[in-house]
Amino acid sequence: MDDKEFQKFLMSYDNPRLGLQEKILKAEKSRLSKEYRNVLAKVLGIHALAGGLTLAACPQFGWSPFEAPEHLPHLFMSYGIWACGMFCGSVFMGAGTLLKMLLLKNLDQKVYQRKLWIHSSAISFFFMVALMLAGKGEAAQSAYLTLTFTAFWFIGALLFESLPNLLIRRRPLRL
Amino acid sequence: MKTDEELMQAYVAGDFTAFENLYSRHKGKVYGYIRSKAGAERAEDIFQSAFARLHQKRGLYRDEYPFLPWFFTLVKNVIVDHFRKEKIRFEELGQEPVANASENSDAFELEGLGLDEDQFKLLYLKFVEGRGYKELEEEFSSSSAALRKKVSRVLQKLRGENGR
Repeated sequence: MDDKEFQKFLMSYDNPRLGLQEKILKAEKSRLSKEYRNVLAKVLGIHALAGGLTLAACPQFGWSPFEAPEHLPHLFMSYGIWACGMFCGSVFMGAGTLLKMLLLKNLDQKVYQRKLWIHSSAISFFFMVALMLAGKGEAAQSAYLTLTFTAFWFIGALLFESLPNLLIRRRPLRL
Repeated sequence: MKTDEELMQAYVAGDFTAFENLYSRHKGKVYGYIRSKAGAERAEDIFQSAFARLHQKRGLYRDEYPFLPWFFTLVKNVIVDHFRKEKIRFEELGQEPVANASENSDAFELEGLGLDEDQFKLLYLKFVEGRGYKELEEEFSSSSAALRKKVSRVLQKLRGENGR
């Protein structure tokens, strides 16, 4: 770097007019919010796609267009409804998280990770409600079972949405 | 109080408050420097472009870089770009470029190595911003092969000068 020029830069001082300062701050705020909304939309889309694929492979949800093997959910059901719910939640959100790590630019990942727990909780909650609404006919047999399943689904989803993000947090930023 | 580097990291992740802090810390320096180089009538445009460029390029910032020298390079590049554009516009109009443009151009020589503005920009974009030759084709209106040759010639020239 040109040291003389840099020293000149450090010594420079002049105040821009107030109107210009407000304009710059306003423009930056709008650029950042627009990017933030785009990142959230991308994350929701990726999770919806990946979650949809996991549901298509689930023999219990009823969306499966092909004969999915039944033994895996049965294995978890043998531990109880909590294990089944947690497994479902972790696969649903975990698949999205993996896809997100592959598809999102590093800058977008940094934006998403800034409020990771809030984002993970909100997205897990959003999909939990969406799935409850999608499967309300069959799930309402017992309030206790539904509540247990839902609570553990949320825990599994939250863990598999947030933990992989925490692990990649220290990765250097590249575009 | 947070350092510039910490604020920049937060800003990279989309924190507006971090940007506000960085802005209020350095606006005087940036505006003052731009004004001294480009004059009052162009300072506002270039000042706005400098912060827009900071937003655009923030993904290239690495945690280990000291913020101010990195930002200074970026500001300098915005000024160079501004003069380049202005020169082209004046040529199109069949007028002479403004005096300030040529007066200030020597201030942007890379470490006094005698590079002209075009060579400086090419090396800066290639090696500082890490852009590929393909991306630079449009900017320099040349093919990748021609740009590769140009970079190689400039580097050869620099090596020759350093070897003396």
